[in-house]
Amino acid sequence: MRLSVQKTTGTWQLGDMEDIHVTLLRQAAEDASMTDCPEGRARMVPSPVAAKDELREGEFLEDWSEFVTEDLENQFAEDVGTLLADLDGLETFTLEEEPDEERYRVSIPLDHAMAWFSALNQARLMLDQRFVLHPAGQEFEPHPDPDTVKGLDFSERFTAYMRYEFYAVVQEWLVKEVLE
Amino acid sequence: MPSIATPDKQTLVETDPSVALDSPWHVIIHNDPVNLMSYVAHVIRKIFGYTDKEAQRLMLQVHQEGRSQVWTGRREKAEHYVRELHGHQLLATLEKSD
Repeated sequence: MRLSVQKTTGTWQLGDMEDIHVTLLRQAAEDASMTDCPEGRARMVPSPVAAKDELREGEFLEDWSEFVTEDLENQFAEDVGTLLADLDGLETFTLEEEPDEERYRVSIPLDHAMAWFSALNQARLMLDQRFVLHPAGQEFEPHPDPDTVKGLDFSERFTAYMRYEFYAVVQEWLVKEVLE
Repeated sequence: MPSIATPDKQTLVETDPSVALDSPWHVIIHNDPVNLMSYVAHVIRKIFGYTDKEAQRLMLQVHQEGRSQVWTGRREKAEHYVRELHGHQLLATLEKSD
């Protein structure tokens, strides 16, 4: 599997991608969805106060829910939309030495980098919640205590973790090379 | 309960300690297993304007101790910072100082 990421003037480019990379990047939008995952939604728009203070802060929390939560959800949805829109600009090409292998590249404006980071982060946060990738905050274990991953298919959980790691690779590069 | 004295009357001003504007509030960042360490340091630097060294120290405190008190001051500003941190998908809360 090849993939190159590089920063150019005014843009950053994901290049030398194979079908699998493109599929994974498009999958990030689906992975980021909060639909049918209340735990994930709670993680994406968490309480601004500690649990012990929630009773005392009732009125503040109502205002927060009304004015901040919706804004954040809209912002996060826009970020995913930016990633998908940028992926619509994919170009295909072939290498001389491998004329039968179609490859892909996409140039993304530098000022979309934060939206891409956000979309990939949303995907990772939701995958973590849906597939219990870090039970009790611990490192990922392919074969954890069965009670902690009850009802989850081993193969689906493992491939979710592979996507989670792929998104992290792109994110790490974005932090070091573009966001800084 | 502070009192304000005037020549002909005395007004008592009752202050709810939980909402007093001059009471210091802390902004706390909590650890989570997903956010990249490099990103947490980046966000701390970006939002609070700390030096790279200070942002790294606070990020490591989050990572190693589970939480870090990254800012203290007025409640209104603390709310603003927590909203910013949530916008960057970090776990953060505001807490009244003891």
